[in-house]
Amino acid sequence: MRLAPGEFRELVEAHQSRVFSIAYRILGDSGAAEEVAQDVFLNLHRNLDRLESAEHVLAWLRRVTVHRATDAIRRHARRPEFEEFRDEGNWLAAINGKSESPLGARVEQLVATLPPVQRSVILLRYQEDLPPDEIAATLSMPVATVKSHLQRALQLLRAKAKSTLKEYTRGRF
Amino acid sequence: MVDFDPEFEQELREGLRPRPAPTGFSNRVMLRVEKQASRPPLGFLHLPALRWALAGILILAVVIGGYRELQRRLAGERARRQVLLALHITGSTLQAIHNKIEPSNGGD
Repeated sequence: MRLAPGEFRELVEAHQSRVFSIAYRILGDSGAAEEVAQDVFLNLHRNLDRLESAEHVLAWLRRVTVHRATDAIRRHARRPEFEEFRDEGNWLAAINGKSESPLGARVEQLVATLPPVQRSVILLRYQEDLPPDEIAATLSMPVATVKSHLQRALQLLRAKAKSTLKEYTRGRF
Repeated sequence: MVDFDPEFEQELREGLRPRPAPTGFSNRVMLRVEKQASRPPLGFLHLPALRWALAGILILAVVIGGYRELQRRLAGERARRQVLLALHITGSTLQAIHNKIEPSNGGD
């Protein structure tokens, strides 16, 4: 894909929110998410020649962001100075109150309790609104596996949400 | 099998709307892009294809070196066996001659 000078900035501005959100919701740390998101766009700039269309760019951004954020979790988990990435409690504390809306904060808290793969599947399904076959292509896994992760994740989320989300939507908070 | 709950799924969609990126994010990305563009080209060893080619050549050299060493040892072993066989034949011949000479010496 050939871009005129200045068009790359427009591309960054068009996609920065989704890329940052995916990274943030997988990592649970604003600084680490920004680092991953910046690296993704830098990588995009290097690989623009290989991408043929705007749709291709979008699919590429989703795939690379999920993979880089998941790799960052693994990398950080091996380093003692990033102990907080292992601790779900710290993750929840980090996102608590930083969301745009109270519903957003609660949903993010719930999603944060999922294992990273299920977290990625849920984000691609409900943040990015992708159907299971596109999630499968993004994560390089069979569609049946995506559906199974999706069902398991929803089961977990619904069980955890019973006491919080429903009360919130009924206006008890 | 879990039945999908449309109301719950809608709550997830609403709760997972993309967050805004941090202020100045695109400026920081563009700064890094410009820095990357102005960087001198990487040394030849940074090209992945070349690194793989060098690794391949190194492995090939080790394999060929090992094969030649094996051939040299086998040739040495063959030569040793031939020398031993020659010595054995010589010994047997000398023994046969000695046996022929010995009885006539004993008859005197």
